[in-house]
Amino acid sequence: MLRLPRRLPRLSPPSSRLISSTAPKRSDALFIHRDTPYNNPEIAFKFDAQNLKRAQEIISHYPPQYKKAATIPLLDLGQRQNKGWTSISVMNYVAELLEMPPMRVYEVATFYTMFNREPIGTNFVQVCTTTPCMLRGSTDILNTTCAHLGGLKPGETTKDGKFTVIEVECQGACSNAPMMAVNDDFYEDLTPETTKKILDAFAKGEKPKPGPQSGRKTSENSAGLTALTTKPYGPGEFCQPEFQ
Amino acid sequence: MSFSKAFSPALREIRILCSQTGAASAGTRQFITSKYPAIKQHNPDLPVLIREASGTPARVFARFEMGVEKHVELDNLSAKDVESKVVTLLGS
Amino acid sequence: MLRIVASASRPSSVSLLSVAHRRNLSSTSARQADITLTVDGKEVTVPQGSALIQACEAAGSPIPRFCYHDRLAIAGNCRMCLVEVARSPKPVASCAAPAMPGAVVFTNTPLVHEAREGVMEFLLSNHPLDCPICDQGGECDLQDQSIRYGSDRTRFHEIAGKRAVSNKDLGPIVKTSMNRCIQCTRCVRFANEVAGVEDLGTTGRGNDLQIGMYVEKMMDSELSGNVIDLCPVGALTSKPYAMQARPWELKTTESVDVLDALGSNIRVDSRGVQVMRVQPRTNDNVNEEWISDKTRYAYDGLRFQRLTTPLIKGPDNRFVTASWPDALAAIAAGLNQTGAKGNEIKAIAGHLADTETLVVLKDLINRLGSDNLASDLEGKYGNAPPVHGIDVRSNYSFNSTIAGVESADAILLVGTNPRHEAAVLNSRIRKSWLHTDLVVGMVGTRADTTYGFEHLGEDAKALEKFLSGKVKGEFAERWAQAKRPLIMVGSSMAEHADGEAVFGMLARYVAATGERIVREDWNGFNVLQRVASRPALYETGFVPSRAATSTTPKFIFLLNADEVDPASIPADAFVVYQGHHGDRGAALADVCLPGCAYTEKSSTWVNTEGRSQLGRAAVPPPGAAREDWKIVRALSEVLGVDLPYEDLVGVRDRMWAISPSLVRWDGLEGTSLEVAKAGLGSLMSNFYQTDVVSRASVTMAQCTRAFVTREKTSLEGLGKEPLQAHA
Repeated sequence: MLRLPRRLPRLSPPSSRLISSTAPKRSDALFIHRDTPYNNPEIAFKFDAQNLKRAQEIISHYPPQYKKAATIPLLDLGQRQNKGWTSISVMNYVAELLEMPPMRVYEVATFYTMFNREPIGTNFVQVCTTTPCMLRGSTDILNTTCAHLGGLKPGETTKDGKFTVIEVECQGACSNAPMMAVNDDFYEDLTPETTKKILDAFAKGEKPKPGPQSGRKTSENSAGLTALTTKPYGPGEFCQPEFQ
Repeated sequence: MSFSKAFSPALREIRILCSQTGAASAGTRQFITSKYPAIKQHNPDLPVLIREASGTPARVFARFEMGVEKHVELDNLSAKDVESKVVTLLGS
Repeated sequence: MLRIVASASRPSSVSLLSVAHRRNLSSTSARQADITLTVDGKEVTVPQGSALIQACEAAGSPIPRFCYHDRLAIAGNCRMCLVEVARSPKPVASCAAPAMPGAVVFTNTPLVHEAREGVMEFLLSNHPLDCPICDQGGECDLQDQSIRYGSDRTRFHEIAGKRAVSNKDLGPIVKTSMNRCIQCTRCVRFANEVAGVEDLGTTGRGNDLQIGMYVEKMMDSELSGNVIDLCPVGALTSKPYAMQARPWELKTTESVDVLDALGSNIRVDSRGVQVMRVQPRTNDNVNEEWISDKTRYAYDGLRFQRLTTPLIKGPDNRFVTASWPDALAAIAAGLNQTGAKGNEIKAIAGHLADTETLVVLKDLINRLGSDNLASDLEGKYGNAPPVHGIDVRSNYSFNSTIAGVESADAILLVGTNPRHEAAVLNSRIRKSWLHTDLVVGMVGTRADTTYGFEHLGEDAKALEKFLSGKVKGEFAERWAQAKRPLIMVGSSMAEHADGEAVFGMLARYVAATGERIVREDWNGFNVLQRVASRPALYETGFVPSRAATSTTPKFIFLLNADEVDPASIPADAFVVYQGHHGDRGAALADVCLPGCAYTEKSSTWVNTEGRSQLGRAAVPPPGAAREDWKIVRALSEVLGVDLPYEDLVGVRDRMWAISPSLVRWDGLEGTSLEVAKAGLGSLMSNFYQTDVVSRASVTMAQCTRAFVTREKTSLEGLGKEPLQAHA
């Protein structure tokens, strides 16, 4: 006789994170622009003199009929000038500068997640939660970060506007997991303590030293080198005499 | 009657039908190229409708007052014969 | 040919011309040799560069598809067209794969079926199950293909539900239901490539990808309705037709559009006595697969403000309904009472007059002794013979043919905005502009075309300057070298104070350039008509004689003439209006005769190329309305005029006697070179130097100089008004 499968009783309270944690995203909130007082085409945006020079330099890398190839670097430049986020005015300005239909720029800006289309805090904290980091305890890092910044949820900005925390996918620093990126810098080999330290430093307006926080050098073995311990040989050594 | 003077005011419209390439219309086409400018010059206000359609029999229609219409067949005629036929038609 | 990247951005505010800004370095493809491959065991030969899907079609193996469309660039994103190719490790998307010589393709194997079922499952996983309330139901590609390729059970157990996407507001024509969208991007490609509205695109990525404009905006295009036909699902449907009918209830009639002079081929879908919708019919020579929004959506006007019974204006200036015999008798009495004789009897033909009726009416008026056959051209111009003359068909026709526009390498627009006058033709120019080295120059009021152009000036003086070679610039340079130059003169030039000078200038220019513009294989002198009835009007000789121009009419017959200037109608004249709508024309009339609209009669229409096409009756006329030519024929009986035909066959015999091309439906009768040249010669008004003898003659040269000098002095008065295209 067949036994109906019984639902297994849950043994423990849900571990800190569920396997599938992607919240259903309501697309319209993400991929449609609606005018707001802080983000509408009426707000003027223009590159300052320095960025304009840089923009022209970037455009000059491409043949004139493929000017639109400069869309991404220009949007990035615009995002940097516009306090870290890409407003509709930035997109319109880039489109105008590259003589392309604005929609083509919107397509690019909505496709790439690193273009923030909503304002962010002064410090943009991106905690990696992809598998290698997760195995190394990124969940703790994320929870610490959120709790330390006053109980935020990922995606939110602190009230004082100093921090925005988001969860991101792999940043390519897996050998130094867990890691987070604050603005343009990677902070690696994190523990909850070092995380708090970094956040405190940023809160004070300082900039802690990027890189591994455990003291090791880049991604060297933390227990000391087991190979390649000798001095690397230089050019010409161990060569035939005529090449020395 | 010739084509170098104005036609009678009773003549209201000429309509020449012919084929663009057909051999049977060759004479009519020649007539058009040689005489049309003269006709137009002396009768600038007279509509001379040239309506071509492939393979259509060459014909010329003349419309007089009160909608009276007469026509002659011009198929397989030389330009000269076409001319005399048209003269007879317009003069009648 | 296989992949055309829609990269052209259109200069909107500045008329940029430089090639550098608008297209890829190489986008044309020369037609290459044919290749042979095997599809389902059948050998098939296709041109090199064809997509695999085309080869499969040619072999008679149908391939399901959503994103692939013959007339749009290839996207390859729906994956429905997967086929198996021998020695290929995976199924291949046949729309995006080129047909290779010697390839062995299978379209009906278990692998293919499984692959398509898988694709279908993914497409349906986010597609709402709202077919019962979806307007696409019954003609939905997704529905049809899921019957054939879909799984018979669901594995969809997502608790969070299906993807939800907010609807977009694309304007009064396209209704959106974006949950149903399967992101085939046909609409995006159409808007960008064909319509030239580069506002539609895809935002977001992955599961969240959606079609839209990102910002809130309407789809500002005169071709926007075509995205409804293109949409394979019910995401884009017709707003006016929403919840009106189901496809299986509709009767389909193939007909011809009359709202511009292109003669777009349409399909009129009707239910009972109502026209429910109008859709395009493919005709590569005319409208390809597109129609303008006016063509598509003007049909609801056929339900309102119709004349349904004959009306006679009573003594208190109010219309009273009458029977047909009474109305016709009233007209006869009116004609008698005014005592109109000869040219005092005037007929004015309007925009929507069909060819049969024009022929019958012309015969009637001629037999009443009048040549006063006016049309409702702007202002006073309809009362005189048109400046381009009507003797030779090529003087008022689009001689390069609509399809021929694509082979032109330089286009000069004179006083025309094809975007408004012939929207579908405009999309052809854009197509050619995108894919070839075409350059466009424009003389006339600056307009937003959907392609870049060089603006050469506004008035006839600017045209004169350009034609005399005094303009420098890229367009002038390219024009001088063009192998197939095309001049497109707007029909509004016949309604312009400088019209005669413009046509004269162009005719002289064409003659001076010898074989360049008009030759055996190419006639680049075109007049773009914008009104459906005009080509037929000119073809049948429905124009006033010079003598009639100065006559004050006492009896006026308005045939569909609503654009006529009320001031041009004398107060004491007896006016008859025959038409289908109670509009301006009817308001002027003493007697109104209800006729048929274009969906209610089987009649001939001549398009701007001179192509005659047959419109067919889709629905019966309302009330006591009758077919137009029959009304005029009945009237002739009452007026005591004997017309030599009694039935439609007789009328068409008469049309054959007027111009055989009128009854050669769907065919196109060209104008032979000599005749075309003779026609242009009559525009030059210079008969002094037409042959070798007179060219050698000093006297004639002096005559010409005097003549040309006179022309030059008459140029002084030119350019008071811009050469404005008709809105």
